Parts: sequence; structure tokens; C-alpha cells
Amino acid sequence: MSTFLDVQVPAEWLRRARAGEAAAQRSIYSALARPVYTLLRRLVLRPAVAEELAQEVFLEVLRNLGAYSGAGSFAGWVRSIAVSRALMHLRSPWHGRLLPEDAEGASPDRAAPRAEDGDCGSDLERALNALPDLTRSIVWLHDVEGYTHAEIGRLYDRTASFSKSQLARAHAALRDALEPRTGDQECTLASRN
Amino acid sequence: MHARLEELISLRDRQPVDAATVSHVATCAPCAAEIRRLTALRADMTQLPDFAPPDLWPLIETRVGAAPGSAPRRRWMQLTAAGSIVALVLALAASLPQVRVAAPVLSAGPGPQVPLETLVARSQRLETTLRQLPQRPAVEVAANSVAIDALQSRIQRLDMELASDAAVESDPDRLQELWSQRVSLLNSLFGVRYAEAVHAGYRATREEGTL
Repeated sequence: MSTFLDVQVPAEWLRRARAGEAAAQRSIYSALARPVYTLLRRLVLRPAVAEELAQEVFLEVLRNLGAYSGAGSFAGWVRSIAVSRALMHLRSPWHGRLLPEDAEGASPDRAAPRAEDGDCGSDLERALNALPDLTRSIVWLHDVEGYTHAEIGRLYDRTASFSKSQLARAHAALRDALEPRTGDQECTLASRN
Repeated sequence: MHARLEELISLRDRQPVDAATVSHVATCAPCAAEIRRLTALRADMTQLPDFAPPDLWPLIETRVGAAPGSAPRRRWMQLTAAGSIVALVLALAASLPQVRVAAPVLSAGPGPQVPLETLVARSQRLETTLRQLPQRPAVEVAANSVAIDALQSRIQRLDMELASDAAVESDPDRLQELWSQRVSLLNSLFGVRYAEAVHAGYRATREEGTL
């Protein structure tokens, strides 16, 4: 899987893109389209929503190149914008209450994730997609994107403890989905209190 | 007793946990196996394949207004953009009389109760309308920014409560109240953004010497 950390955007591209040069802006888009879209698909699931959000992410990036201070990687800055956009979508209450005019099916966010790619997806993907939005986004941001609990807590206007408990909940659900329990292995949910 | 999942994840991530847990895991085969499973699962997640992105560049290029052209061409585009802002604001004003005036009311009050689905639909329409407003001006008025930030923060807090508080879901009155507040806040936000867009559009056209 390609990650944001793999993407290097030359300073020259940024300079030319800030000057409004379309070729440089397109180069930035091409370098980051795959990680941005993949991240959005992992967070919001629905291809149509991910496409819309990806557009918004790149519009925000290209219109605000001057706001990138140069501290930290450019790809990391783009990732933070993508995460912010995705969480804004997930926080929107009517996201989970699709009106009939917007509904594409009974459970639009639980659509088979890779049908359009000619792949039914792995058990792990299905297990991830079955998680509630909140827990799925937290497990992805923490375990794959490398966000700390403190960073995730801030993103959700909560605490690091909130992130830790949600992550544990996510892993419990993933374990249940991926590995039917056997008596001897039921160690981790037992409370020591 | 075995370690809790949260503690095992912390150990996997080399985060501090209490000494008793460390001692237990050091001698507990199931807990050690669980840490290995969690580590392998994380590795599996990072190896999941990418999604091939659709080619969004033509749409983005159109919307971002990128152009390698000469200065006269850019000036023509600026004039067009200024005209578009004014046209959009006028169109919004004509098509959305119900949101023309910001409503600083924060609850439904004692009036007739609006059905929840209607509130959700209004909220959805207002968010769509907000997205259709022009981008905020490069030079922002401080008072506008403060008001917009405050409204967005309150909406965000409401959204958190609506999205994550299970108690709300089972309390129809509270649900009604929160959605009513959300519609009012979105109305207010639209009012501020609308006024800002009108002002920015007027200023842009005046600077181009067309007024």
C-alpha cells in the first residue's frame, strides 16, 4: 500500500503551483491522488462520497498552498486536510440518516468496498467495513496512519483515553469478526478489576 | 486475570502500562500470543491494497481556476469570477428566501413542533447551500471570522453529541431539540457567510472598476 510518507513533492512544484501553473498543480494532484483517495475510501467507504471529498481536498490544497509553512512534509499536510474533510463528513449527523432522495441502498456505507475493482475484498476489509464509522476511523488513523491517541483525541474533540477505549473496542470487534473464539484464547476481554 | 485488550495494544505500541501488567504478560502465553496477533493484524492492515482513484483532475482544474495563460487572460478570469460571485449571490437570494436572514434562535421554542425528518432535511439543504457559496475571501474581516468560527464550533459540538451519544437516540425530545438547534445555527452561519459573500462580491467588482 502506498502511503503519504512515500510521496515526495519537490519544492519547485510547490513554487510553480503557487504561481498558478496548471502543470505543477496537476503534478501535485497526480502524486497524491492515490493515497488521498485510498485514505478517504478507508474512512468513508462510499466511492461517490470519497470522490467528492477528494475533490474538496485538492481544491483546498491548491487554493491554500500559501498556508503550507514548509514545516513537516507536504504530503503530511495534505493528509491532515483529507482526514479533516473525512471526519467532517462522518460527523455530519445526516450522514447516517440519508434521506430517501439520497439513499442508494439500504446500507450505503456498508456497500461491498471493492466490487468496482473486480475484487470482493478480503475478510479483513469486510471486518473493517462492518465497524461503526467512529471506531473504524480511529483504528485506521492509529494503526495504519500512525496518529497518536492524543492527536486522535484532538481530532474528535475528546481525550486520548477516548481514543484508546475506541481502539480497544475496534480490535475486539475485529477479533470477533476474524477469529471465532475458542475458550482457551479468551484472555483479553477479561477484566482484572 | 489476563491483561485487558487496551493494555495489550499499549504494549504492542510500546506505550507505558503498569508494572503488574508487564509482569503478567511476560509469563502469560495467551496474552503474549494476543500481542503477536494484534501486531500481525496491524501489519495486514498496512498491506491492504490501494484504491485506484478516478481521474478527478479535469473537475478540479475547472474549479480551482488554474491557468498558465498571460496576465490579460487572468484579468479576464478575475472579472468573470467577480461576476459569477455576484450572480450566485443574487441567485441564492432569489431561490432561498427562507435563509436570507440569519435566525439567532437556538431552539425550537414553544411553537409548533417541526417533525424530525423535516429538520434533518432542512439541515441537509442548508449544508448544501453553504457549500455552494463562494470560497471565503482571502482578506477576511475579523468579526466575520470570529462569528463563523464560533458557529462552526457549536455545530461541531452538536454533531458530536448527535453522532456519539446513545442516550440522545433514545430521547425523542432531546433529539428534536438538538436538530432544531442545528438548523438555527446553520441558518445563522449562512446569514454571516451570505453577507460576507455579498460584501466580497461588491468589493471585487468595484475594484475592477465596473461599478
